[in-house]
Amino acid sequence: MSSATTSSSSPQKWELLGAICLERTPIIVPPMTEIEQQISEMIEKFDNMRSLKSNHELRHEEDKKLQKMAADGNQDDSNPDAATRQTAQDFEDACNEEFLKFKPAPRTTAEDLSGDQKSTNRKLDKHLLFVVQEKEKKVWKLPESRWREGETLRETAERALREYVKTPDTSVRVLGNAPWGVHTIKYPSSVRQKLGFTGVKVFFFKAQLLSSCTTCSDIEYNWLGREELRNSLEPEYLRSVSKFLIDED
Amino acid sequence: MNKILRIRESLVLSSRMICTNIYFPTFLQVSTPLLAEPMKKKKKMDPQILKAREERKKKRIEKSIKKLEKNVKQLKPIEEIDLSISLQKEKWTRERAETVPEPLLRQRQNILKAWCTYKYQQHLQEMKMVDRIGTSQSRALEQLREISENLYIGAIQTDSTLLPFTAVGPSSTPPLNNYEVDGEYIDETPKWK
Repeated sequence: MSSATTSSSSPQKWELLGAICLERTPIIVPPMTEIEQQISEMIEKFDNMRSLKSNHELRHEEDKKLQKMAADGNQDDSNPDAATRQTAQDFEDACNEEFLKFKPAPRTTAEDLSGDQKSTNRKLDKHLLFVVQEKEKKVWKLPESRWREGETLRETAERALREYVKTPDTSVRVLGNAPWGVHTIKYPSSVRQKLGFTGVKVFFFKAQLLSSCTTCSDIEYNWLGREELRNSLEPEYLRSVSKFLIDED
Repeated sequence: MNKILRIRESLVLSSRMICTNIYFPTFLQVSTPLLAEPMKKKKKMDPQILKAREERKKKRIEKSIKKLEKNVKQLKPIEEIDLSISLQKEKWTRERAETVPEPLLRQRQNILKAWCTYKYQQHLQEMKMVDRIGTSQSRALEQLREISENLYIGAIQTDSTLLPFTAVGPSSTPPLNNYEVDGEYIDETPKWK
């Protein structure tokens, strides 16, 4: 309880805000860098060279022998259905055909191309952060709300989330009771005298988006990647927030 | 005169003398069974002693069985394990004749060296990032503690809903909408009576 660092003689009073940092985590893996590609190719080559032949390969060799025998004219009459047997090559071709028929979902979505910043269905290999625009000053920031008596800061952050986003409890996972970061805003001395507070402290709580959610109707919001964050948020605020965000190239 | 002499000889020569004279005066006819030792009378054993003997035999056999089983539990050292012949044959049929060409080996060495440094740098970056996130959290908790002890205590409570933590990892392509999973499956719906 002893605070060894007391800068001013009178205790400082701070306004407490709880903010929620809601992230949509990556859905697909990022593309391989050049060196990763090289090493994966090399590993595959060496694994193949040092492996033993599989049943499929043995069957293929047998088929080749049978074909050669048939070509040379030494028909093996003991095997009447040899001609109708599906060769290993046929099986491989059939498998390849089936594989080509399957079309996986594309890695770049329509929203990627159109640049729709309100959708979570873009930049699937990166993190997207939920930011809202404050109504009066048109400042972009993470959803926050003022702390009330009797609740923990985590509950403040969850309340902030519910004000902006309509989600069932299972689609958002808050990562723990402890705040991940803090941002301090000091009021100028005139405002300090008026309000009685030295400034504002915003405590950030990190959360993950597990499934889709709908935002409330009358708010300005965006789901921003790291680059876009740098352009939208205020520099000091951005510094405090990026301290607890995962790196991305 | 001769006969008396012969009998006297046999008396001297062997201690176990059997008279095979079928003529006067002895008139004895002997056969092989009669030449054997007569049967001894069988003594009746105490049934308790018999039971005890059988028990002891059983115990001995059980002990030896236990010892053998103990042997089975002990793992064989790797040097003593032999490949069964069928597996050896399989290995022989499935071996590849290819050898690795020299330039490929050298190329692999170069790539591995580059990979080593790349991964090391990546590890350093990750450690830096983890440190950064950790200090951000501890600084936030410090400042919270200066403001209010109660809130601080509330913040350091363990969140039991977080553990066990599961996350579905990223895949190489995003999930398809309206994808009907086909193929064989085992129906594991629980049946209630």
